[in-house]
This record gives sequence, structure tokens and C-alpha cells, in this order.
Amino acid sequence: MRHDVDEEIREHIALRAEQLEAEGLDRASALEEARRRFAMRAETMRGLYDAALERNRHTRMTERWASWWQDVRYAARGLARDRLLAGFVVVALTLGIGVNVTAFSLLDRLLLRDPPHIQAPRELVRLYGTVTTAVSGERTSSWIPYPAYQQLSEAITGFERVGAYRVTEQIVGRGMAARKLRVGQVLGDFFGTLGITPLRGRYFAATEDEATAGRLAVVGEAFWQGMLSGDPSVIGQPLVVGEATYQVIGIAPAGFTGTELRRVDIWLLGDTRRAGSTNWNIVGRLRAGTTQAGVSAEAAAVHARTSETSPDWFREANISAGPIRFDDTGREPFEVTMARWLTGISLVILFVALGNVVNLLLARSARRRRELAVRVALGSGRARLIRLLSLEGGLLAVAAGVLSLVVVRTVEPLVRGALLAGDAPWTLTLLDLRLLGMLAGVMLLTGFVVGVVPAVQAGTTKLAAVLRDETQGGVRGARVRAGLTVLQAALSVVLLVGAGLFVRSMARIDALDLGIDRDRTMVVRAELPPLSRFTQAAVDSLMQHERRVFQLAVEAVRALPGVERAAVAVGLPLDGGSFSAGVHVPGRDSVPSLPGGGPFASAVGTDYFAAIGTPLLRGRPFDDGDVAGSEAVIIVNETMARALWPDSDALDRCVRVGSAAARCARVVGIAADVHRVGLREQSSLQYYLPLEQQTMFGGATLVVRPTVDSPVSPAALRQTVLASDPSFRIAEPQPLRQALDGEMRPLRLGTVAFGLSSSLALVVAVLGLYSVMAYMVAWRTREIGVRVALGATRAQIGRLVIGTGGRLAATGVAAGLVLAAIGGRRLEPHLFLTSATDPIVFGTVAIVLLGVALLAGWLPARRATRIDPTEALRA
Amino acid sequence: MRAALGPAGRRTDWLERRDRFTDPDIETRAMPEPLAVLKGTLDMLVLNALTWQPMHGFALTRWLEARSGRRLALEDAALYQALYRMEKRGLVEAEWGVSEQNRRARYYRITAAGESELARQKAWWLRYADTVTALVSEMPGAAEP
Repeated sequence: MRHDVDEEIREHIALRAEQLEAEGLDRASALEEARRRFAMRAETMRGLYDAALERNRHTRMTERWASWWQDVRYAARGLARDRLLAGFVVVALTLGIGVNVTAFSLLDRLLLRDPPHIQAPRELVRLYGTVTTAVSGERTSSWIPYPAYQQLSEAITGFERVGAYRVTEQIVGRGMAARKLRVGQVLGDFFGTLGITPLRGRYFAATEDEATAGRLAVVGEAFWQGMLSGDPSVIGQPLVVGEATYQVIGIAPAGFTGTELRRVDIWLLGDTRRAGSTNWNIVGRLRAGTTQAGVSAEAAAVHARTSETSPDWFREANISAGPIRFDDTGREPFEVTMARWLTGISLVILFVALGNVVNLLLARSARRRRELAVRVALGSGRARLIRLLSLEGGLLAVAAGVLSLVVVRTVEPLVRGALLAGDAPWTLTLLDLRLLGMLAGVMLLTGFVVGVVPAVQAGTTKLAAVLRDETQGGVRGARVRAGLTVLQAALSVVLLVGAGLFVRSMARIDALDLGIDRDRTMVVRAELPPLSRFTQAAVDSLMQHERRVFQLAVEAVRALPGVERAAVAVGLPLDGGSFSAGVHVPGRDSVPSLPGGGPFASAVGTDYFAAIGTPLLRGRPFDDGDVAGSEAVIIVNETMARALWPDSDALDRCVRVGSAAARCARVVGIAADVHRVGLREQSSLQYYLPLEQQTMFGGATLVVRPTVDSPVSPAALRQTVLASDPSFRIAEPQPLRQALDGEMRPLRLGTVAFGLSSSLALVVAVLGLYSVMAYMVAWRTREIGVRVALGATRAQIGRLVIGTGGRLAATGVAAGLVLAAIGGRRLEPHLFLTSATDPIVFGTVAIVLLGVALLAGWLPARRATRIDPTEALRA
Repeated sequence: MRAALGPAGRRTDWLERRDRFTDPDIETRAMPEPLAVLKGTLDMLVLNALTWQPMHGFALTRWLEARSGRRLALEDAALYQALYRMEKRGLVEAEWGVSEQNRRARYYRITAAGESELARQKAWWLRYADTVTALVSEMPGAAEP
């Protein structure tokens, strides 16, 4: 820069001196005079240098901007010319980025973020009890009996504050407008322990209790906005929950769920008078200086001291403290595990997409090698070239990133709904800093990979050779592309195997005989007002009343069009076991105890077996003759028949239900085994009693078998039941299938997640294979022409092309199967009766991928065989 | 001073052209003393000159000297300062080129931004000059405006 200024001034002075010489001065004086006129003092020069420096800096900046802008426009034009390719790349990247941002957003909410509105959640712990039973082994649960809560909450000094809660589903409202909502009950200093501030009103104080303060309720913000229309004067208003009316005293802030993952609609003040036989979740805040381990030890000690106050099943329990984010079995909630999986799958999809995109861009830059070489030869400079190619990648990544927000907006609610079964306490906000930060991160990664790799490859190409058209097929580039294709194929295989394993599990579940007609059967749970006093007389009269009104209801339902069969039942399959009552069999000292448990009892009305679809293997079902005064009869299941009377016929045998002194019930029928608990179950002893002949079991349900053509609608069922007697509080029709939902959800989610992602990955991988082979044919056109000229047959050419692609695919498949075998271990606990290395799945996936690879190669191979040698050699 | 020993005719010539600032014995002739360029108007003068044609620094100096009939005394360094400043502001553009004498020279050209700046400064100057002229032309005792 100084050099420039000096030169300019030197020229000026020289010209001035010339002028002065022309006017008569001699050369030396002229020069001196010229210098003087210029006022060439030290500070003048410094001033000029400074001004020139600023000027240069400014022009450099504007020049730089101008050249960047020019490059961006050139890159955009270049991409516009290759519209198809650019479009495909943007779509692939949009899907990859969108899926990742969605998965991360869910993982963030479920795992990374602290539960909303809770102060310092790391200081909170939940108590867990581990109980060992003969039947089910060791089980950990956070549900602790109330007497134990009382002892623990008072005695543990490590807790600064402590409270308890339980969330159940309860009916809010009455009649047709009644809804089952998630209602929490609270004891102790629950809200104080969590340290939240109410949106409006106040919370329950630490010492408040229904006995002292009456029936108080705090409503959630979503419930307030939704069902109470956000009415600001709701504080002090009454609210009907279940049987009682509560007074609303406060509103919890939006998104508050206590320590639960799912939403909680209403919080009620617990009643210590009636808490005695219930179980609660205990949450405490650690005092400064205490650790979770310390509280664990203290809790165990307290429990050991006071265990006589606990119910006997809990006396030997091991108490420990754990973080609040674990679920009620002391493990990471399944939803969180699923979110982790989704994040992993999304990354795999992104890498597959990236691999393919980079492949395509490499092929494109190879096609353009001459154009680029000319540019460099004309003085563009390699750096500028690399910058240009990176810009192309960057533009694509930016476009994909922006479009991915659309994907996120569409997909996230769907996945969230699937994960949390509609009980999510939050909705998506796109303008969230963390989400946008994640988007920016993924975009940078994508842009870097997509931009840099082709650019570096271009930067290392030998120019002169390209211009002379001598290149030996860019060997290193081809190897990179082949490697990427293998990677894509491997990743696709992994995802496909996952999908296959889940599909197999689902198929096994479908084929599973649960002993009932799970597809058609509907169940109507209708509730009557509960007892306020638990005296024997009150219980008896309720049972009579229940029997009477349910009889009215079932007759009304049977009269409906669209109903084939209907029956009343107490104790249904898939109900978690429900009732169990011991039996005594004459001639045996004891009843065998089976791994599946039991004996499980049901009390059923007429037509039950036909309604629910349980086949009667032998004998007869109950009929109208089996009433209170008549002969006591019983139906047993196959397992029970074989277990109790292995060598002889079970029919007409005697069974005493309840005690050895009970009257004999004659076995009149043998029913097929049903699943009492869920999908994964072992054989158990099951029996059925006529509804009219027993007084032990209450809590009836209606079982309905709709007709095949125009089946009855749930609304009609609900209305009919409610109308049949005014004491019905609520009637909820549900397909019996729904009872399996809890167990099916992981499998369904896994199937959908792996199924969709594997299809996507497969499509992308196939395109990658196709592009590699198409490129190979184009590159080696001359060579193929020579071969044909030398006498190669079309079949040989075809084999040459397909052989290349086939080798790549085979390598990818092999690598993918190995990866899948290793990673499959982690999937195994969630599969159903399927091994993580199921050979049929592995074999099918391998065949599918190889077949698809062959298909991908067919078109380029055909083109190769059609190459005219004269044309090829001339090109 | 050596030139004084040259041919007679040249000598007279030289005397007439000698710089008045260094020789107090020479009376002022017909031409008055050159005016120092008023601060802030140099930019305007340069831009104005450049609207005729692109010029390099020295040509600009000669042009201004000639056009002003040598009434303006221009410090060359100040001129270059002005040029560099205006180049940074985008009022002029510069490019190395070749002059008539086949020498390397940095040519300055006025830009569109420069043209509008020139128009603005000209308008201001003319108004200012008018106002000041009018003010100082008044004699004390004249009628109130």
C-alpha cells in the first residue's frame, strides 16, 4: 500500500519537475521546487499513508462482499441448471435435518430439560420400595403405602421438605359431559417441596388436609383454559370430581405435571382419613449437604424401625431414593428410551442422506471437471474454486434447513402424540432457542459435509491432465463414492433389520391366541356411585343394586340393532389379574401353584362366553337356570382341569370356592385358557362362577359383541347404558383391544419408526447405487466401447456393470448385518417372542437389498450393453 | 539562480515567472495573491474537475491551477488526502492506467454517488456565497432590510 502511495506521489513530483523545467528551471532545482510545492513533510506523508490505508481497507471489504455475492449467484445459477439433482438433494437433506430436529426436540423435552416450573429439580428425590414375591420375583415400585409414608415423612431428617402424590383417572363432570381425566391427589408439603408458584390463587399449605381444610382443588392451566374457558373468576368456584364437589383455590402454571411425564389436569387435596389403604409416591427435597445415597440409607433405617405399621406385603421392602425423572418402576421411562432411539435412528437417516447427497455432488463435480479446470486455468485460483463448490453445498444446506422447519411442524405433533398417547403437557414452539440452536448445528454439519467434500476433491484434481482429457477415472474419488455407497447400504440394512424384527413381533402378537375375540369385543365400563361407608350391609346392598341395574343395562343393550351378543361380567381378561380366590378340591391337600399365578376368578352372566369369544371346549355355558337358589356350578379353564384332575375327566367334579367348608360347585364346563394379565403370560388357573351365585366380587362390566355388518356405535352403547338406569354415573365403551395398548405401544412405535426410516433409507441407498453405476458406465464408456469392439458380448458387459454394483451392495449388506447383530441386543427386551438375530429376518433383508441393488443396476447395465463402439471411441 | 546565467531573453522570462512568495522585492503585478483553498471546498473543486474527464493527480492539479487562473494555491498533499478520502467514501473510483507520456498513473473517476454529492455541495456553496456576499456588501447606515 505504501508502495502505491509512494509511486503515485513520485509520478506527481516528476511531472511537476518536468513542468518547472519547461518553465526554465534546471533539473535539480525543478525537483527541489516540486518537492517543496508538494509539501512533503513527515506528517503529510503519514497523513497520506493513513488515508490510503483506510481507503484500501474499505475497498477490500466491498470487493470481498462483491466477490462473495458473485459466487453465490454463480452457485445458484449452477444449481438451477441441475434442477433435478438440486431438488432431490434438498428433499433428502430436508428430511434428514427435519427428522433430527424433531427427535432432538422430543429428547430435549423428555430428558434434557428440567421438569417445568420446579425449583432446582436435582435436589429432589423419589422414594422406591423393592419387594420380592414368590410369583413375580423382585419388583421395584414408587408406590408406597400410606402408613409407611407417614413414618418416612416424619422421621427422615435428610429431607428439607417432603410430600406425596398419586395420579389416577377420575370422572370429572356428570352424564354425557363426563370425562375421564388425570387427577392428582396430594398430601403433605407437595407443592412446597417442588417450589412452584401458582399462576393464580394459591396452593395447599403443608399442613392442610381434607379433614381440616375441606375439599380443595388446584386446576392445571390447560384444564382451566380448555374446560373452564380461562375464566379469571374461577377461584372459589365449585368443581365436580368423581362423587364430590371441590372448591377451586388456585391454578397451576402451564405445563406443570408435578414429576410426571404426562399431563395432570387437576390436583386435589388428599384426605388422610381415607388414605389408609392407598399407595402414594413420595417426593422430598434434599437438605443442603445430604446426598441421595444418604437419604436412601436413612429411609431404609427408618423403615426397618417402623415396619410393623406397614401392611404385611410391604414390611420386608427395601427402601431407596432415586431421581424423580425415573418412572414408577425405578427405571428410565419408556418414552425417554424411545426418544433416545428416535434420535439414533434420525442420525442414521441423516448419514444415509448425506452419503447419498455427497455421492451425487461428487459425480456432478466430476462431470463438470472440464469446466472447473478451465476456470482455474483462466486464473480463478483454487481457493476461489473450493469456495464456489462449498457455496453450492452451503446453499443447499441452508435451503434444506429452512424447509425442514415445515417437516418439524408436521411430524413433531404426530410423534409426540404417539409417544405420550395424547397426554403431552407441551406443544411445539418453533421459535424456541434450543430448537433453533439444534437446527443451526445440524445445518452447519450438513453444509460442511456437503460443501467441503466435493470441494476438496475438486481442489486436488490435476488440472492439466483434465484439460488434456487424460484422467484415469479420478480413482480416489471413485473409491470415496464407492465407500459411501457401501455405508448407505449397511445403514439401510440395519434399519431394515430393525423393522423386520418389529414386524415379526407384531405378527407373532397377532397370531397369539389370547382366548378371546380381541378384534370385535367391546367392553362398557359403567360406574355406580361408590360407597361412603364400608360396612357389610352397605356392601351387600350395593352388590344387589349393581346386579339389578346391570341386568337392566344388558337387556337394553341386547335389544340394540348392531349387537350380536352381550353379557355382564366381573373380572375380565387382560384386566391385570383382578380377582383371585382360593379353591379347595376334595381329594387333594393343596391346589398346585402355577408360574402364571391364580386361581383367577370371574363372575359372569349368561351368554358371556359367546359374547367375549372364549371357546367352551367341553360341557355347557351358564344359563338362566344357574341362579342363587339352584345347584352351585363352576366352569374351569383347561389348565385348571389338567392340573387338578390330570388323569380323569374334570366334568362333574366338585370344587369348593373360598374355604374347605364351602359348598361343592359342580364343574359343568371347561373353557379355553385366556390371558388374564397381558401379552406375555404363562398358564394360570382360571375359573368362572355364575354372577347370581356369588357375592364376593363386585364391579361389573358389560361385554358386547357387535354384529359384523353395521356394528353398534360406541355413542349408542353409552346412551343406552346411561338411559337404562339413573344411578349410572358414566359409561365408557372401549374395544377390548385397548387393554393391550400399554404393552403394544413400544412395539407399535418401534414398527412405525423403523419401518418408515428403513423405507426412506432404502430409497436413498438405491438411488445411491444407481447413481454410482450410472456414473461408472458414463465414465468408462470408451473402455466399454473398446471391449465391445474387441468382441465382448452384451452379456459380458452387463455382468461387468452389475458385478460392480453387486459387489458394493454385497459388502454393504455384510457390514450391515454385522452391525445389526451387534446393535440388536438393545432391541431385544422390547421385541415379542423374537430373537434379535432372527435368521429369517436377516435373510429376508439381505435378499431384499441385493434384489433391489440388482434392480438399480439394471438400467445402467442396459445402457452399457447398447453402447455403440464407434460412438464411444469417438467421444 | 543558475538560470539567471542563461541567454538574455530567457532571463526576463524567468524573472517574470519567479514565485512571488520567495522574493519580496518583486512587486505584485496584475495578478493578485493566490487564495488559499477554503476548508471544505476542496472536495467540491476536485469532484467538479472530474466531471470533465477522469484525471490523474497531477493533471488534476494542473487543471485546477489553469482553470482558476492561478488564483488558487493548492497544496498537492492536501489534494491527495482529499482524493483518498473520497475514494474511501465511494465518491470517486481509481484505477492504475497509462498516461499520455506512457507513464504509470493512477486515474480518478467520479462515480454516481460523487455526482450527487457534487450537486449537493454546489448548491450549498452557491447559497452560502450569495448570503455572505449580500451581508458583507451592505454598508453601515443603509436602510433596514
